[in-house]
Amino acid sequence: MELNFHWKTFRTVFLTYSQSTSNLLEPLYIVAEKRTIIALFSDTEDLSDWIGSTYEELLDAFPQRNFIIYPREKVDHWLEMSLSQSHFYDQALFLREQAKSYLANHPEAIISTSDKGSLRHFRIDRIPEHFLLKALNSWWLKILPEYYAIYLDLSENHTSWSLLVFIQRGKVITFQVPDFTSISKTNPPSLRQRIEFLKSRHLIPIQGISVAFQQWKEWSSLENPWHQIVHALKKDKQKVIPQGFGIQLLIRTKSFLGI
Amino acid sequence: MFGGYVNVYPFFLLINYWEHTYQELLDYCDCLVQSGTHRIISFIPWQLAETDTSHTQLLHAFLQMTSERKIHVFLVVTPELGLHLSNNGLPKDILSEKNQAQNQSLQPLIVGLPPRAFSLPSFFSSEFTKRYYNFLSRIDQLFFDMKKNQPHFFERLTIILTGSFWKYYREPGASQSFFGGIAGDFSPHVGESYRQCIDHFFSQKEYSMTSAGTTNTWKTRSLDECNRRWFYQHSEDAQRYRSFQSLQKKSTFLEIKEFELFTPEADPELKYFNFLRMIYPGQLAFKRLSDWIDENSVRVSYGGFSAALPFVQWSGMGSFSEFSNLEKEFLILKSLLLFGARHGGLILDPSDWFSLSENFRSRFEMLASALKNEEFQLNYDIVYFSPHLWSAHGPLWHALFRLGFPKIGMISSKELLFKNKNAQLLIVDPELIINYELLKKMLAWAAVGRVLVLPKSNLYSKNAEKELSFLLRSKNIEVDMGVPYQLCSLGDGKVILYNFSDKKNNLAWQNFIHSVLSISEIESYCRISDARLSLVFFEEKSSQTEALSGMKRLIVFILNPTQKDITTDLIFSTSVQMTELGDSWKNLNNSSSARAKKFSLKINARGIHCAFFDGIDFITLRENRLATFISQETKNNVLEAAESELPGLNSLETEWSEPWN
Repeated sequence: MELNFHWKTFRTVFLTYSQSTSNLLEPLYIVAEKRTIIALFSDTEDLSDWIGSTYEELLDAFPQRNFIIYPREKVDHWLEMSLSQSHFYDQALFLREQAKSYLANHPEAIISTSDKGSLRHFRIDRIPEHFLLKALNSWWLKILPEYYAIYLDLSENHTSWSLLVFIQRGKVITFQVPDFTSISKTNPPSLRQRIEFLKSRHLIPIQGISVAFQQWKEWSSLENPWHQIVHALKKDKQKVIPQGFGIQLLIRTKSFLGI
Repeated sequence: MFGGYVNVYPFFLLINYWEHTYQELLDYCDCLVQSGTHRIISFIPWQLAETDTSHTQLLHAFLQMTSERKIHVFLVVTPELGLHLSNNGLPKDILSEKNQAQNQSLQPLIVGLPPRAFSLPSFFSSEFTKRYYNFLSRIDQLFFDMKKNQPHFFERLTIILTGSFWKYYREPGASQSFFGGIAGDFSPHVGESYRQCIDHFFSQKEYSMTSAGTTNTWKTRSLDECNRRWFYQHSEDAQRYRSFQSLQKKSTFLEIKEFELFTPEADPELKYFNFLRMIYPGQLAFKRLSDWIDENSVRVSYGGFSAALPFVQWSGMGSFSEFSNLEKEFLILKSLLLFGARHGGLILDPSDWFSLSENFRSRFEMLASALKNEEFQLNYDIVYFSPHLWSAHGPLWHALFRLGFPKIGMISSKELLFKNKNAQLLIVDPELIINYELLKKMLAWAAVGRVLVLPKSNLYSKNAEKELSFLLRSKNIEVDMGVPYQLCSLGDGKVILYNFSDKKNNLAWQNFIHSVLSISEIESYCRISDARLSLVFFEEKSSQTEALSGMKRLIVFILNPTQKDITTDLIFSTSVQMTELGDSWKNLNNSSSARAKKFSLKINARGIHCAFFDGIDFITLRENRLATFISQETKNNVLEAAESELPGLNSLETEWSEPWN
């Protein structure tokens, strides 16, 4: 059965989190009701024993750390609003936007021992959106069709992940793991055969990408991997199908201009 | 141990037939048979069962392939959380705002797990429940039709009914406890049924006149919290009972088991943690999840017709999949120890399971088999009777949890109490409404050498109050060790009546629990010198001669949830001999230690250390506990007498422990 919103595969393909490499200590992130801590996080240690304390007590215990405090009623409101989004990834992006704009407008939410306005030090601005999803929602929007899908085929040793992501006006609408058993039950079909099958089934343009999983993960960990992608494409032209002039141009422009 | 259970193997792999293609399912089944796994669990998703015509075909194909391979399939029918489906597999149209469950601030109760965060529907919404029971009838019909053509499917098929969303109708509280917030659904659907239910309940004659006043007094705002707790538990019990019946209208041949299925990552107390995870990905809450196991494993629910087996599902939809293997192994083993000891266990995604080392998996399976065969047991000497399993409880419960864990079971159903043969002590929550029948049963239970701890409250019905005052007319001792209480004899047992007050500090409640445990002769086998570690201990099943001599082997698991190695002392009250665990439960290392009262052990970070102890005389241990209690009592009485005879003497201000010792 083809499941819509195949989250496990989407997470494997698009969500890569790497711990902060910065020398600066990450702030402590807190959700508080009045002054009482309801939830908190720190990159470096487990502070869950502080739940139920006031953040003044926490401040006394960690005088060198920065704090970001979200009021519970705001979080409740944002969560309720996020229910209108169609899937978890969009909900997370929505919440991230709300949190960012709250921090920008409420300086009291940041308790900083150094430069209070230096939000750039905080991870909320540094969470990398996946390079591909970011590009699809950039100026590429004006060139790419309004509705299409991208088929990703990532393999490693004997394991492979395949995901069909439906994009409308640059946004992920849904995603699924396609089932090719109806075209070949024994031998795995070629990438071209799979793309043709998906095109005839969904009647929309499909762009296929086939990459080794490890390489994909490397690219995904970078904010701008387009140089490496262009380089890899030169070596193996089978990675992008169909490989029209348009798609080449988009990738190269990204690589050379970095926009 | 709570009776009425049928032993189920405490570990399942989760293979949802609707997540895979036919070929993938075939490969999975073959792989499982090769690895020696002959039981799997799967969910029937409500939306697919209702709307997708290919679902039935796929279920047929799945049952055909499992039947051919002699794999026992457990199918969960009731909606649960942590499914790999948008809105958790619930039909989208019934998740509209009008069917939402709400918290006390009338906000939706949101589950922040992928593939989509959504708000829980209310079991009090008539539209929702109508659809729900229709869905169960559809499943009933489906199995009935299936039986005609494929009777062999049912040779190895068990249907699972669970407690569904009731335990998630909670809000996070501002405390460390996972049950710190206000529980219950406050949506407009509840109002009418709550009033009707309460009116009906208190119209019974025995509630007409009490110390609380007339019938109407029971329904005053001050008792609203107590009444609501009773009402939520009553509604949950009724829904479980009806679900069971709905599945047996036609398919009377079905083998049905009742589970309480927990999905830790969907716990309401992690709502804001899940929010922070959404905006700052990569955050994990290992210690919170480790604590979650402790707090949830002690809650024992009753299904429609039998005790519900507690299972924990590490769904892989939340942070669990992102933990390191060491952390996963810790949570898995801890779940097995604490849930498996209560006839439950855990459910895992195969990708998480097979990512663990073969050595770990084989030791885990050995431990699971030992639990299934009851080779060793965790005895629940203490039962806490609560009006509502999922509500926050006061300082009395917290003191008991601190001192009695893991030998406690919290129940909210009297059926469970009277099936528990091993319990020695029953503590009743101060917010429980007690009628004559319940009181009589509890007194009868205590009269055969057990201890019953009752609150002095105005929540006794008229007849229950009479019965209690009759009991208090008999000879009793008044004791005050922080919390004042009266101790009465009842047949071979004892009854303790305590004065409940929220104003008493935690220390007072701990002292009270200490004395109650002593009176109940509930022994603490050993203690540990480092509070960051926790202990789970089992008694090995003994032969008749061993049981008569009071000598049994104790198996101790020491759990270190921290990121650091910890060296600790394990202290016993008598000299015992320690043997480290070898390759299997039967194969212990030859190098037993010399007999000692104290053992120094190093517990690795995120590690669980296991050792066997011989030479514990359980009978002497009980006598020692009683002697300690009597000594404390005598000390108190002497001090009291001294205070009354010597004006100006205040025992609270004077350090008496030195000369006394």
